[in-house]
Amino acid sequence: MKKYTILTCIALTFFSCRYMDEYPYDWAQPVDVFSMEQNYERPINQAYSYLTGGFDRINGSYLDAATDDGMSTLRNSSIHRLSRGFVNSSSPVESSWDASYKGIRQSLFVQKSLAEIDLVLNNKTSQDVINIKNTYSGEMYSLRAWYEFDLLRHYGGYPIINKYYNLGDPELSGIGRNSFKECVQNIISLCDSAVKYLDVAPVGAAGGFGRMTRGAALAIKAKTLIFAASPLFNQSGNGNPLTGYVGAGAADIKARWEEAALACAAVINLKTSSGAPAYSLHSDYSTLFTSSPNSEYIVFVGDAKSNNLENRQFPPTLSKTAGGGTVPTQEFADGFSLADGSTYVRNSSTNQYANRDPRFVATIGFDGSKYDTKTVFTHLGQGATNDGLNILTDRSTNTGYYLKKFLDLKVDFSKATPVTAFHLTPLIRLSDMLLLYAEAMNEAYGPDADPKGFGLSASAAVQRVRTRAGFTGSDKYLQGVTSIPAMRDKIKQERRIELSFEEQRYFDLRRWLDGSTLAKPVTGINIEITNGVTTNTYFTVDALRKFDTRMYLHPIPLQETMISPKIVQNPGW
Amino acid sequence: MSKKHFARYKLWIFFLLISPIISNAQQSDTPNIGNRKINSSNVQQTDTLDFGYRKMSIEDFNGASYTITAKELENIPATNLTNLLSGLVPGFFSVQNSGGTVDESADYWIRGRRTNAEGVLVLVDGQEREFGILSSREVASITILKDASVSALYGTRAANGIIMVTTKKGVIGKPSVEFSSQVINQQPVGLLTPVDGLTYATNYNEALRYDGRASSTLYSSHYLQQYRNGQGVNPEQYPDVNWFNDYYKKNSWVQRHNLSVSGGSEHTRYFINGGFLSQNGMFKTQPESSFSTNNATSRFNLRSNLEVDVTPTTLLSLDLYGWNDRQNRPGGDTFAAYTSLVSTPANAFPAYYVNNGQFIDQEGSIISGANDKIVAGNTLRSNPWALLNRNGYSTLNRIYGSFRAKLNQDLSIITRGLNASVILSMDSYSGSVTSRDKPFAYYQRTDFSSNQLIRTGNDGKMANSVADVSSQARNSLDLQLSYAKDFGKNNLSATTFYNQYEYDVQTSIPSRFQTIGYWAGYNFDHRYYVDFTGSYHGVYKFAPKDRFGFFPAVSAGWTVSNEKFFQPLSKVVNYFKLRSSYGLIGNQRGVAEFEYQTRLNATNGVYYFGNTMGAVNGYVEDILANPGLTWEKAEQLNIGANLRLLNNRLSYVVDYFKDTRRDMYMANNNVTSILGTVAAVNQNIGEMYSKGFEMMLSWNSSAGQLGYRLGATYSFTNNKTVKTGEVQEQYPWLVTTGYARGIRYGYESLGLFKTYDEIAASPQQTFSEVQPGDIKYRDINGDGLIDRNDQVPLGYGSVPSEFYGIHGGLSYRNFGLNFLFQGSGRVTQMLGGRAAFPFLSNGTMYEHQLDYWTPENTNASMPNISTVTSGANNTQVSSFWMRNSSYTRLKTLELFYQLPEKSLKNLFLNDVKVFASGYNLFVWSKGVSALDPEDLGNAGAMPLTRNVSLGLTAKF
Repeated sequence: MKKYTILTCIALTFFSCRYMDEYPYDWAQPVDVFSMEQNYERPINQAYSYLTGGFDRINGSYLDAATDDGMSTLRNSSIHRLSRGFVNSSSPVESSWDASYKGIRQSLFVQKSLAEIDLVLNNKTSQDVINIKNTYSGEMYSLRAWYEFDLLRHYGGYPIINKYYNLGDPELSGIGRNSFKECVQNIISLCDSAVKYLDVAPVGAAGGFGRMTRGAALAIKAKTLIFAASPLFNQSGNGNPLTGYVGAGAADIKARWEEAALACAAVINLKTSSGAPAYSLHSDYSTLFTSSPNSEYIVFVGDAKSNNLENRQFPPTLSKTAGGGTVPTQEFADGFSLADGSTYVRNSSTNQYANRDPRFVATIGFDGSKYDTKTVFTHLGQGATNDGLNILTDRSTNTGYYLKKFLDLKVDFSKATPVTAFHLTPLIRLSDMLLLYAEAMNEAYGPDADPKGFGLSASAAVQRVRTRAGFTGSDKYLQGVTSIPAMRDKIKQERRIELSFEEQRYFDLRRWLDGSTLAKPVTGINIEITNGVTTNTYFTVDALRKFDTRMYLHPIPLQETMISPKIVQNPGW
Repeated sequence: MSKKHFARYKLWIFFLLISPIISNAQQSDTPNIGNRKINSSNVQQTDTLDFGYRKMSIEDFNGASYTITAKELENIPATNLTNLLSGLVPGFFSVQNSGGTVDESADYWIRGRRTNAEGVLVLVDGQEREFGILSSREVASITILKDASVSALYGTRAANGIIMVTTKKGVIGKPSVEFSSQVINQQPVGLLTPVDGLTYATNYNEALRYDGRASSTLYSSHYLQQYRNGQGVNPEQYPDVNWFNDYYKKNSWVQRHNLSVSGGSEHTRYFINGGFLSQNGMFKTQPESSFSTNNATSRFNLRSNLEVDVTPTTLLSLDLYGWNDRQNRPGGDTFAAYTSLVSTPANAFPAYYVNNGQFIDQEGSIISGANDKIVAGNTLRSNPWALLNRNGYSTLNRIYGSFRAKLNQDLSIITRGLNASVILSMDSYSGSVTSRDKPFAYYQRTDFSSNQLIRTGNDGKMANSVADVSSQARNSLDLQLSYAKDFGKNNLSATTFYNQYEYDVQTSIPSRFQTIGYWAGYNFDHRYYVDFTGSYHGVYKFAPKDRFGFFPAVSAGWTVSNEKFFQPLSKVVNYFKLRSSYGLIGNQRGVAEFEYQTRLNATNGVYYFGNTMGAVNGYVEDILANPGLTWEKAEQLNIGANLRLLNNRLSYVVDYFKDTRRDMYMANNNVTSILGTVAAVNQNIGEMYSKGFEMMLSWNSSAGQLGYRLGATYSFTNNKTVKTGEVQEQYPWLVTTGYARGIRYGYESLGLFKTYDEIAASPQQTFSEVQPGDIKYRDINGDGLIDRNDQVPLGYGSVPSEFYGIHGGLSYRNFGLNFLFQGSGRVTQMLGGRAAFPFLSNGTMYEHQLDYWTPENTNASMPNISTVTSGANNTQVSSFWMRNSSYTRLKTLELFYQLPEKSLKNLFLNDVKVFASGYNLFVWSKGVSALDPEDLGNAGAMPLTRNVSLGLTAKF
């Protein structure tokens, strides 16, 4: 019997009903995060992380490399499939679907958790905590508005998600696309909610630069209304409520432009608590994009100081390991006016780069252009370098130009520790707002009228942008422009130059129904120096550029339409 | 089964039917089964099976199992046991895709790829342990359990089969000392041959021309002329180094020695074994330092298996086992050095510059190098010579120890046949790398008229740190109560047990399992059998309410040859048993732990705010609560038969199985993105089944002094996915569900474009701009574009679904011969990486790639070559790169001579054998490649080796 006692003892020692109960207590649950002072801001930060843009947007290129402005030097980059129309709903190349819905989920998760979970903060009253929660909730409304706006400009109507869902919620399978109109209304109401909770000045440490503010919410609203008023979504005879307004008449369209103008004016005229304008144009166009903080950015993608952009976009002789990336086309270079504001006409002159729009040298690296103390040569023949046309695979220019915009020219990779710079990717900045305002005012009231007393006519808004760029009072750009269509063309051209490579043109050409521009081959320049004689030859860089009517809107990812029959595909895809 | 396949099986069916007749014709006058030497054959199944929970005669077992004794494997010069079973054991599938180190283990499966959560339960003396590292001389037997009949006892741990290894025990008798010693020569096989400097440069120029690069970037004709001249050219300026030849050995040595003592007296039995293994390493390193930088290994192992009869009814077994080894490596690591050797172009740089005493660097400092050798190099590539000789070294030190104690009490005082036992097993492992890496500066010499070199990096001090520390522990406890009794012709046996098992990698919460199991067996007169096995079993990773499940199996057998009506046949058919099993078991492998709960994951540097753009951290829902998460279900059916004929000389075993898996845990892509989850959602959604069969046939006999045996195995499996998380596709050919697991998708090649006119007239290929000589793909959906929608299933998977082996032995007087031919079928590999694409990652080109397309060579076997491979037209997965990688190997061969006993009388020796043996001696394959057929898709690993050895064993 003694043996059984021993056995039983051993059994009791090892056998335990709690043997498998150990659990990873370091797995944070929502309550662990939102109730603790050191954690609760982190999921809020996370909600910002789905903002995208910049030089590595599509496989090493700016999105603008899929417009007539740019070309990627990366031989096998998928951006070429986008610009050449080799896309379909199962591999669309450009899609904002997943990132937007991730951002929306995170924002909704934050709003739900802030509302449900008690938070106590050191040295703060419960009213303080309510205010803090309201501000953060306001930021989440703004982010949701931006993510939804991004869906709107890609797809037209999209499925509106206004609620936090658990995995496997049966409601999900019943959700289909909302109409374009409902989506616009939803974004506007999100922006209005954000405006209610947010102040003009951001909260947070170190100035909070980059956080959503009242101005950001107003700007997203204005931008949404501009899209809503644009030709793409107001096509006569449209019977599909998903892709735009149905039965939009001239009066409806005018009313939409008026509404948009009002919304843009609200941003331009926004004042801080001290009465100063909330936003103002940065003094120098060439340093704007490497400045933090600056007075011009309204919504942008924050990023740490780095020189990755320079490494990608510098000419190869200046880059550390790469070079090239996205380069401008001849068509884009030709688009810059002369220094007096008159139109540039392509000629065979050897100093075609002189006497141009002051933004030309800030935007384009051309043969003989200065990069800080160094000179870059893109020509072939005598004195050719690795920066010459098509010298190095993937790294040398294939158009004869480099993109100089956004670069900090002080970055010097020959130094042991090259400096780093700010590279904040603008999503909405004041120039954009001014030009959108000009567009809306022109469409609603004509080039020079200001009947509502916003303080600025369409042409005055454009001129404000050009004046900052360095044009003086004798600027001929808008001289003699009196009709709405003539002004429209000038605004379009000004947007192309001022907002180049900021992902504006890709969507502008679509909302203006100017897709045919994207179907034209793009051109480059081959400069050859032989025996001291320079010859310029223009050549086709990409003859495969293509645009179909269906490309005005992007294909909804195939798998979404396959999973849910209620998510209807866009026409033609 | 398609017609084509059936045609192949016909041959096998014919062989299996006809062989008894052939064997019969060869039947000799002496009906005894072979002699002693033949009996040492591994193909002979052992008579008893010890499952830990139950010990039984093989004839009473209804499940699908196969046992080999390790005797036959002992002299085979392969260092990992996982490589030795395929072809020998029906139902065992393996792929070996690397060699040249002592850890050259194979990936293996029992009955093929039956689930997405693969992995076999390996039990060494009842405890879950690795078995490949064991010495073949301490192993008594290896049993493969293929069906649910025993797996059910392990709940969710053994659905993919069990490998049960039993180590040797002592037997009563005077001490028997056995000594063995073996030297093995390893020769790398399946090698890529890098081209020489001139060939590299001329072909690199071709690739640049294809890329449309300016002529100024090409190697100049002056440069090429220096190589053509050869004589009198400065080899430092125009280097032409055959790195692989110069710094990788054509062969290397391994030695293995083993000493065992076994025996026992009335109350104690023991088996004590010690072994030593050392491998010299494959690199040619220069003995310039006091330390070695080669990838050499040495290992000691020690075992003591002890049995003590504490009382007449109490048996205590105590097994102690451990090993430690030390693997030396070049500083960077073995694989980096190997990769550098095999991929650095011959003209990249010399190994080193000989110091003339006047070299200065760009800062004007005098350059010095050990032994007057200054490391040459450039920023594009590492210098292989320097990685081997100037980068320091590191050693992986591992130590493993285990014990198992079993106390068994015969409880006949309560009732006859009752037994109770307690088993406690503990294992612990720890490993760490002592890193003595040493940074080195390298120098680029561009101007040979000057003494100035461009330095990159700095010569640094040797590090001395410990890294990659890992430790593991396993503990298990078993309590068993068993009862066995015969009531006349009714034979009864019952076992019940409790088991708890913990596997702890010590960086996360230990994996824990609890099981209460039973095995109830009954047979009538050894004719009709029925066994019930099962377990109530819990897994730590699931929600408390979902943790436990019941996993039953039933098996039955009918020994037809024991029936009276069978007696007339029994002279020819000595034994005939039909058996079947069916079980519903689980597979917890692959299911993520604790996912029944949401997890917020802390993310760092997720965004940037503020005037100075300071990084801020985030928290994201990376796991969404997945309530009801459970294990994969396996429904397993087995039907088999065993036959022995003609005085037991001919044995035949056949098994058919069907295994259906449900609730497979896999990514559910049907979760809509509008939910906005950041990580893939995995759920219990998959379903697949596999079917197959395996056969074993063997013949043992002798004629006078000549003994011989011949055997064959054949294993076949076919699986099909039924449900996956795949989203419905636009075109039926894009759907992977319904095909075998692991099948590849890609484009169908139509050969190479011949002209620009042909390109213009063909569908638009959308990957990169194409030129004549690029691969042309079929436009499956006919939309004029070649894109993702034109992908189709290609070939088979990369794991063969058919294995076979033919093994045999001969002995005549004191001489003997054993061999194994092993092969596989129904397998395709995609040629990829550097084996397919020259200049990949600044790498070199290989001789088999020279036949590429040029306007002058339009019948080429390879497309255009380019210096840009990523995303290119020709690097897409396509049938162009697909190779049939089925093969037949002479896997093992052994010749031995037994010294006559007379000659040993005065030497205190009683059994001395000398042998010569080989592993992986020859391979026949259809795949067109320089690489080994098992290595094709994995050109990044160290090459396989052919091993030949000489050795002797002696007993005294």
